[in-house]
This record gives sequence, structure tokens and C-alpha cells, in this order.
Amino acid sequence: MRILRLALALAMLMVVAACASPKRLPVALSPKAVDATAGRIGLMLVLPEKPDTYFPGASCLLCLATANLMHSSLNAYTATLSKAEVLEIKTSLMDVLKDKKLEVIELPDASNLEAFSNLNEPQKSPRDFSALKSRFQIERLMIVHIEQLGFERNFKAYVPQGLPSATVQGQSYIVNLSSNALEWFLPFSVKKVTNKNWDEPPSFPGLTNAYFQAIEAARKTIVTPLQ
Amino acid sequence: MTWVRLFSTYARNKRTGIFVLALSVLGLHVNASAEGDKELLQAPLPSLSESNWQWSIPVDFEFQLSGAEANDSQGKPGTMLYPGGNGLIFLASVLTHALINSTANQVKEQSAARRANKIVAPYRELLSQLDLNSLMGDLTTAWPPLGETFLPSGNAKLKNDWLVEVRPAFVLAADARTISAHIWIAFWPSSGSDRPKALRQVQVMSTPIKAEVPESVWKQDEGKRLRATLVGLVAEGLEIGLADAFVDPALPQRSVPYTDGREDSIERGQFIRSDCGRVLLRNLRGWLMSLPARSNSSSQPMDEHCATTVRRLG
Repeated sequence: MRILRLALALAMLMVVAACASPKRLPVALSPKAVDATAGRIGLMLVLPEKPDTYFPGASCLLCLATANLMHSSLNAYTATLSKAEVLEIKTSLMDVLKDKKLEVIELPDASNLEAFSNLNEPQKSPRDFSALKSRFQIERLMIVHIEQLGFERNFKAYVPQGLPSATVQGQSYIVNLSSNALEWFLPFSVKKVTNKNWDEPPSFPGLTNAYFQAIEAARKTIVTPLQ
Repeated sequence: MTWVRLFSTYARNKRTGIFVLALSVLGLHVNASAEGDKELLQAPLPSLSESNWQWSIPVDFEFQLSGAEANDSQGKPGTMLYPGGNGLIFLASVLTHALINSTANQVKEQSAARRANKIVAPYRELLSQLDLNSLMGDLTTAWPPLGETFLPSGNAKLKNDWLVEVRPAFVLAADARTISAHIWIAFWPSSGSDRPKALRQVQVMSTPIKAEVPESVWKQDEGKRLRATLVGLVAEGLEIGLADAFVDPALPQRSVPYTDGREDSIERGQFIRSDCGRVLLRNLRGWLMSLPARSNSSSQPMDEHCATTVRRLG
């Protein structure tokens, strides 16, 4: 009983903390962040360990269990999808930044940003990355943070709403490591829908094609403002 | 797997477990793709020589050009409050919700179909003058090698070993810049059979129209460009299907870039070749697809074969 109370209190705390996080609005790219005098820039890709399925609106536990059971073949298949094309986003960004005569340092990819403390200021970076400045001898950090990668199907409690879509969702931003100020902040959410005969196990060709199309569209969304 | 744990927890209560399973079964869909067709798509083609086959279009197969349906039926997430009471009332309310939702989805589909019909509406008069017989007549004169092997529907008997049955359907893109032909090709032995020896499905997209108003291009000279493109798409698709480009099954899949004139996109599949400003691939469903390449994808000089392709596809 004590453990249950503690768990409930923790859950409440997490909900309150989430509500308190400032909503970051898009920040236009500052020209000085990517001009030839900008100094060395680090590039980091943050993405989930594997693609997944998401069921927004299936909010009760039983609804979520039902949604997952209805999509069990898709769930198993999604986890096997390649992430290699997502890594090409980083390659494209490196090419674009090098074209601008910037010295780009490739930082190791990560699956989350838990190692960095939160900064609850809307005009600043979501996390404190200042320690990376001396560690990698960089002035700025560009992060492509993909939070959602895979397939999404909207639900209203137990009932699916419409068709599943391929989804790539997250933010791309540049942080000035001297001040943690945001010099670019681009939230993105790409969705690609296939036709109504989407349920084609075991290899889901329509949805798989949409998945790779969504990655390509996300790549263009992220790279285009820098060109 | 979090959901497995969740389900196990709920399944401890037998009635709830049965309820979850019932909902899941309701949500399952019938897999539309016939395994038999898949097998025939991969079956080797019969060996066709210059004189042992003819091609034809089934007598009852009609000309169809439709607008591309916009697949935007994603719905919106939300919450739903179901009435309390016993489990049966709850189950009935969830089923009623599912039924209402299904009706709403049908309305959305009808609306998408109406939008698709709007795309072809400006061409109604022009399309009413077209039929497959006259288009194939154009094809036999415009592309004589294919014309020589054409067997007019119901007019003559097959004199060769193989009948290649062709069923084309056309789709006009939402911005009217391209037309895609979806061509089903079945290879029937003349000895009689209830099943074709092999099937091929080919999709060919025309070269995008760059003009501001594509409608005026399709309609000029009483629809000459539209007619020529429809014929060219069938000729090109038929040749691709008959050539049956060899694709090593071990060839890895990749994202093949192409353009539809409005935006650059990719199609996932096994890349076969890039020439004449086009890319050819076998997509994830096993269909052969010929798509316009992005402008920088091909740098090869134009030979006679390419000149033919360019003339055919606009």
C-alpha cells in the first residue's frame, strides 16, 4: 500500500512537472549561427532505439492494451524496420554545413538526453549542453532530436480513428554553448498516410513505403532552412 | 513489451480478458492481398518469341481515368465516456461507438471520392470520346512493333501459343501534372487454363507537365496530348512487363528518388536502372514501376531508345 501511494505521488509529480515545462516556439535560424565565423559546431542525432507504434487517444490502460493487441503484427514488424535512412539526415546536414565552410564535429548518437539537466526557460535550450563546449572544443551544437519514429494511429478510447500513418516527429535546433541560447528551433511532425488496404502482414508494403517517405520528407524539412 | 504485461494484468479478470479479445478480433481486418496473385507475380514469364504470342484487352474491360484520391483519413485522437452499469452495457456502448465511427469513416471516404471526381471533372467531355478500342487503334499505328501482335477484342481467334491479356487503368494526379497507368498483364497459354501462367503489374508515371495550367496542355488540339500520353503509357508499360527486367532477389531494398513535378519523393524497392530521365524499380509489392527521375539523377546522352520513351511519356 505504501509503495502504491509512493508510485501515485510520483506519477502526479511527473504530470505536474510536464505541465510546468515551457512550450518552445519555433526560432528562426540566426545567420551568425551558420556563417563562416561561427566557429566549430557539433552535430548530434538523438533517436529512439528502434521504431515503434503510437496510439494517441487510447488513453486508458485497457484501451492501450486493446490497441496494441489489434496491431500486434504491425508492432512486431515495426521494431524490425531499418534506421539507416534516418542516419542519412546527419550526413545531409554535415554536407550542408561544410558547404558553408563550417568545421563540423560529429558527436556520438544518443537515444535520449537524460544525461543533460533540464533548462526551463523558453528562449534557451531544452537542456544544459554547456559541458560539451570544452569537451569537444565546439562553440555551437546542432541537435536533431527525433522523438517519434514509426507508425501512429489515432484512437478515441477503444475505437481507431482513420488510417495508420508513418510518423517522424521531433525538433531540430542550434544552441550557442556559451549561453545555452537557441539560435534555431524547428519543431517538425511529418506524417504519411497509405491507402485504406494498409493491413498487409507480414511485410506491410504500403506502410513500409510510407515510413521511408516520411523519413525523406523529414530530412528535407530539416535540411532546407540551412541551405 | 509493456502492452503484453498490461494485457496479462487485465486478463486475470476473465470477463475483462474476453472483452479485450473480442474487441481485438473486431479490429482485425481481412488481408486483401491474395497469396495466389503474389505467387504469380514472381512466376517466371513464358519464353516469348517474335511469333508465338499476341496481346489483347478483355472485351468487357472499360476505359477508366480517375482522379488520385487524397489519403488524409487520419481522424483525430480523443476521449470517450462510456455509460457505466454492467459489462454488457459497456460492451454494447463500445460496439455502438465503433459502428458510428465506421459510418463516419464511410462518409469521409465518400468525400475523398468526391474530391477525386472533381479532379477529372474538367475533362469529362474529352474523356467521353475515349474508349480502349480506339486508344489501342492509336497504339498499333503509333508503335508498330506492338501493333503487329495486337489481337482486337473478340474479333479474331488466337493463333499463337500465348495470349498476353492487358488491363490498363489510369489515374490523374491531384495537380493534373501527371497521369499514371496501372497495367495488369496476365500470360495465358492457348491450350486453355483456368489460371494464367504468370502475372505482372506495371505502373508508369508520365513526365510531369511544367506549364502553370496543366489542364490547357492536356486539352490542346482536342485532347491530342492526353490521348497520346494514354497510348504511350500503355506501350511503355507493356514493353516493361514483357521485358521482365531481371531483379536479383538478394538485391537490397533502397529508397529510390523520383519527382511527380510537384515535389521530390521516394519509392522503396529494388532499384533496376536509371536512364532516359526515368528510374525503374520493383516496389515492395513486386510491381515494376517507371517513374520520372529527379533532374540530376540521369546524365546519360539520349539514344534512340530514350527518344522513344520521351516521346511516349510526354
